[in-house]
Amino acid sequence: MNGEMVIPKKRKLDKNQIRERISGYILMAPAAILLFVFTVYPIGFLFYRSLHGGNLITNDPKYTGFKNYEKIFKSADFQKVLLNTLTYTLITVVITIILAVIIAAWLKGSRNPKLNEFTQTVMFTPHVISMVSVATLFLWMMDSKNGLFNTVLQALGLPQGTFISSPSTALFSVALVQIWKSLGYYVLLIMAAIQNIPQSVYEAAEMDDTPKLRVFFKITIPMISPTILFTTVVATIASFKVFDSVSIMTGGGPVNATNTLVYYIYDYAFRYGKPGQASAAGIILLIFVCIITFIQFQVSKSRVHYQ
Amino acid sequence: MKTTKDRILNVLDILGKLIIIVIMAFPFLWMISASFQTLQETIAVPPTLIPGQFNFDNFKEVFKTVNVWQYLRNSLIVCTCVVFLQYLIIVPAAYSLAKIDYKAKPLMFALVMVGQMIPMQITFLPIYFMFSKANLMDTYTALIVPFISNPFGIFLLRQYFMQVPSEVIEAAKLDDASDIKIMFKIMMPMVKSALVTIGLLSFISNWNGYFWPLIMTNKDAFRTLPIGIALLKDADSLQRWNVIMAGNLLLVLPMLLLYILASKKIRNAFVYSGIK
Amino acid sequence: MKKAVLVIVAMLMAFCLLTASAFADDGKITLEFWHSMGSKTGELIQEIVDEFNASQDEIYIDCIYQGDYTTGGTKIQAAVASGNGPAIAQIEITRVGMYAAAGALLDLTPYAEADENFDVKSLYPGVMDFSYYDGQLVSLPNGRSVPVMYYNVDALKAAGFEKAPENWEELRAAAAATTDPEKGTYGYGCPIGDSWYYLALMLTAGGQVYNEEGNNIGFHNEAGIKPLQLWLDMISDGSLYLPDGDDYASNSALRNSFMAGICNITMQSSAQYRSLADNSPFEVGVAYIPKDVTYAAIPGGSNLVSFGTNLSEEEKQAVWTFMSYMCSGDVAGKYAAGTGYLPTSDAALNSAIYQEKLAQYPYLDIAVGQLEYFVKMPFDETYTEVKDAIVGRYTQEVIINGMSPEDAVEAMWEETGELYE
Repeated sequence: MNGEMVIPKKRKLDKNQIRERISGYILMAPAAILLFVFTVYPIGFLFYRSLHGGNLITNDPKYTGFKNYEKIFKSADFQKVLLNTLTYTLITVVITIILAVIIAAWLKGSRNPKLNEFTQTVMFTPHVISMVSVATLFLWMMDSKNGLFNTVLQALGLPQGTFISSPSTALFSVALVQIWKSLGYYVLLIMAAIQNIPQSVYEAAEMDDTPKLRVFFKITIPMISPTILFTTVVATIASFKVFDSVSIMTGGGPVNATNTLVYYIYDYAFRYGKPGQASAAGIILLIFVCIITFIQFQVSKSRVHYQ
Repeated sequence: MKTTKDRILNVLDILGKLIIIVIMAFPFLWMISASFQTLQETIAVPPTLIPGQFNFDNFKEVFKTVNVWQYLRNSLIVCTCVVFLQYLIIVPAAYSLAKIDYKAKPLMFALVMVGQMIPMQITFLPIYFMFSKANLMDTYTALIVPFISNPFGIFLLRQYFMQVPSEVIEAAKLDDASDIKIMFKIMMPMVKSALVTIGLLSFISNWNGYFWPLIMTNKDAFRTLPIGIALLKDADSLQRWNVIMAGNLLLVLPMLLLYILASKKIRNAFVYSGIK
Repeated sequence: MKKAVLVIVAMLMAFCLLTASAFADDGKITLEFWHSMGSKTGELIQEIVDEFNASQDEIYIDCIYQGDYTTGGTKIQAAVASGNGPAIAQIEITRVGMYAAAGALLDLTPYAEADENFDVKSLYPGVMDFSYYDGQLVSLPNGRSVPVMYYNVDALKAAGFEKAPENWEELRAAAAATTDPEKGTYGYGCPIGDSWYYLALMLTAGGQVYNEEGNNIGFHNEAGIKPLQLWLDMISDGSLYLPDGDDYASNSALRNSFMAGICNITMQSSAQYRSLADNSPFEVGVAYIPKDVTYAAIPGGSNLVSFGTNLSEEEKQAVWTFMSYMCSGDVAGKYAAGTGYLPTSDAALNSAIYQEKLAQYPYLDIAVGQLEYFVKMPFDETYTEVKDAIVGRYTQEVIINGMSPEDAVEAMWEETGELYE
C-alpha cells in the first residue's frame, strides 16, 4: 500500500521544491505531534511504567524489573482474565461473522427487495446507539428474576436462562449484547462486498442452473473472502477492547467470569491503585493487537486468492 | 406463473426478515415503553407492554436525579469541537501525505497507520498520567484534543486527495495560490463527501463514547451525557428501570433521529470506515 | 449547505452559552463535596448542603454525586492521584486507611481543637474507629450503618412465625417455611458478593475480622467456614435467593426482589430502612443479624474526609466548618432520621426530628442498640483489596463455583498473608 510513495532520485532541488518540502513538513507537523504524543509516547511510557511498582496515590514508582509481569502471570485472576478475553473474542467473532455472511447473502437475494432494504436499515440501528444504553437495556431484560427474557420464557413454558447471574452463562450473555449491537454493521460491510462481485460471474452460474446453496459456497464466499478476513480482524480487535458492556452489566463478575483485559487494567489502575500491574496487563493487550494486525498485514500482502 | 413451492418460500422469506426486524427493533420499543411505565409496571408479571398512562414523570425524575442539561451541553461542546477542530489538523496532514514529496513521508505515513492501529484502551493509562501532571484532568482539552488528530480521517482524506489530478494543483500554483488556499479553497470542496463521512463518524463516536470521558472526568462540569446517564443506574437504592430507561432514551433519541434523517449517508460512512 | 452548517454551529454555541451555569463567583470560598448517595438520600444530602449554603455567606459547598461506593471510590482514587482530590468527600470507611497511609488526608486536629462550638468527643466512640490515624484526626463519621435483617412480617406470619429469627437455626427454618418454588418465592436472599454480610455472619460465629497482629484474617478457623456452610445448606433447602449483578448492583437487585415479595428475609444495611419501609406493600420488620454463638456488629457506611492538604488556611478552616456542621447534632439527626443511618451522637439521637421520625418508624434506631457490639476493624491501606478482591471473591467461589468452604477460607488466609508480606 506504500507503492505510490516513490522518493525522487537525489538531484539538486530548485527553490520551489525546497519550499514545497518545507511546507510538507509544516502541514504534517500538527498531526504528527499529536499522534506522537497520544500514541507513540504512551506506548513507551506504558512499558516503562510496567517495570515499576508503587501505588497510584503516592505515585512513587520504584524499578522492579519484570516483577509486575511475574505477578500477573502467576495470579489465577489474570489467567482467568486472559482466558475470558480470548473466549469472548472467539464467541463474538465467530457468531457475528457467520451470521453476517448468511444474512448479507440473504438480503442480497432477489426476493422482496423493499423489505431487504428496510431490514438492513433496522439491523444497522444498534450500531449508532451508545453501548451505555444498549448494555443497560439488556441488563434489565436479562435479569434472572424480573427480566423480560425470563418472563417470556416462563410464559412459553420453556426453561429460564441464568444470563449474567451465573458464571457459566455470563460471558456469553455479554457477548450476545455485542453481537446484537454490531451484527448490522458487519452485514453492511459484507453486503457491500457482495455488491462488488461482477454480475457476469453469477450469470454464468445461472445459465448452468447451479443450485443456490452451491452458488453461495462456490462463488459468493470465495469472492468475498478478502472482506470476510478483513471484517474478522476488525471484529477481533473490537472484541479485545470490550469494556463498556462489562463495566455496566457485570463489573467483571460473577466471580471474575466476565472480567476482561481492559476492565482488568482499569480496575487495577484505579480501584486497587496498582498502575504497575495495570501497565503490564496493558502491554499484553498491545501484544495481542500487534499479533492480529501482523496477521492482517501478512494476509493482505499475499491476498486471499479467488479465481 | 408462480409455483406453490415458490410461494411458500416467499412467505418464509418475509417471515424470516420480519423476525430479524423484531429482534433488532423490539428492544428500542421496549425502552420507549418502559420510559412511560410506573415502577410497579416495570416489575409486574407478565410484563407491561403498553403503559397505563403517558406522562413525563420519569423524565422529570431523570432531570431531578442527574444534571442532564449540563451533560448535554458538555456532549455538544465536545462533539462539535472534535468534528470541526479535526479538519484543521487532518486536512493539511492528508494533503501533505497525498500531494507533497518529502523525505520523512513514509515515516509520517507509518505514524498515521500506528495511530490507527493502537486503540485508546491501551494508551489511556499513560495519557491519564500525562494529563494529571499537566493539570488537564477534568477539562474539555482532555476530552477533545486526543481525538482531533483522527488517523482514520487522515488516511481516508489522503486517498481522496490522491485522486485529485495534480494538474489542478499545478494550475493553482501558477496562479500563485498558497498551499493553504489550495487545500481549503480547491481541494476541500472536491472531497466534500469524505469530509461529511469523517464528521459524521466522529460525531457519532464521541456522542456515544463512554470509556474516555469515564477516565478523564470526575466532575459534573465536564461529564458527557453517556457518563451522566450511566450514573442513573446506581443512583438509587432501588432499580427504577422506568427512570433509568427514560434517561437512556434521552441519550439514544438524538442518534435515532439523526439515523432516521440520514440513514443512507450514515451507513455509507460506516462502509467507508470499514472497508478503507 | 455551508450556511446550514454555520447556522447549526451557531445554534449549538448559543445553546451552550445560554445553558452555562449562571453561577457567579461573589467572593465566597467554594468547596467541592463528593458523595455516593443517589436518589432520596442524595436529595437529602443536597437539602442539607443547601441549608448550609443559605445559613451563611462565606462558604459555598458544591455537592457532586459520584456513583456508588465502588464507582465513587474509583473516581476519588483517580482524582486524588492526579492532584484533583475534592476538598471534602464522603468515602466508604474501609477506604479511609488507604488515603491516610498515603498522607493524602488533611489533618483536622488543629481545627477541631480550636473549635469551641463542636466537640469531637461528643461523637459516640463506636463510630470513631476510622477517625484517628497516627494520632491525627483524618475523618469524621457521616452515614454510619450496620447490616441488619429485614423481613416480610406478613409472609412470616402466614407461615406461623410471629417473631424474627434470632439465631441461624431459626433463620434456616423460617427461610425454608417461606420458600415456595411454585410461586417462585424464596425464604432468604443475600448479596453474597458483598463481603460485608459474610463477615457479619462470621462475627456472630465467634471470629474476628483480623488476627491479633493485624496482618491476616481472623477467621482462619471454624468461624470462617460456618457462614459458607450455612448458605450452602440453604441452597440445598432451595431457600437461598442470589440476586444478579456484582457488588452494589446486587444489593439494589436484592432490594427490588424483597419489595416484590420474591424473597422474604434479607440482609441489608440499616440505612435502607426508610426506603424499604416506604416502598414495600407489606409490613417490614427489622432485627439484628441472627447469631450463631454471639451477637456482633460489623460497622459500615461512610466517613467524611478532606483531600485539601494543599488548600489555603482559610479554605481549610472552611472545610472544617462544613464537616463539623455535618456532624452537629441537628444535621446528623436529620440525616439519620431520613435514612436509617446511625445518629452519631447523643445530640443527634435526641434531636427533635430524629425523635419525631422514631415515633413513626419503630426500627429506626436499631443500629443504635448495636453500638455496644461494634467490633474492631482493620485500619490500613490494604484492607479494601482484602475485603473486595479476596474475601468477596472466595465467598462467591464457594456459593457459585462449588469450591469447598474449607479450601476457600484457606485461600483467603494465604492470599491475605501474601498481601501483607
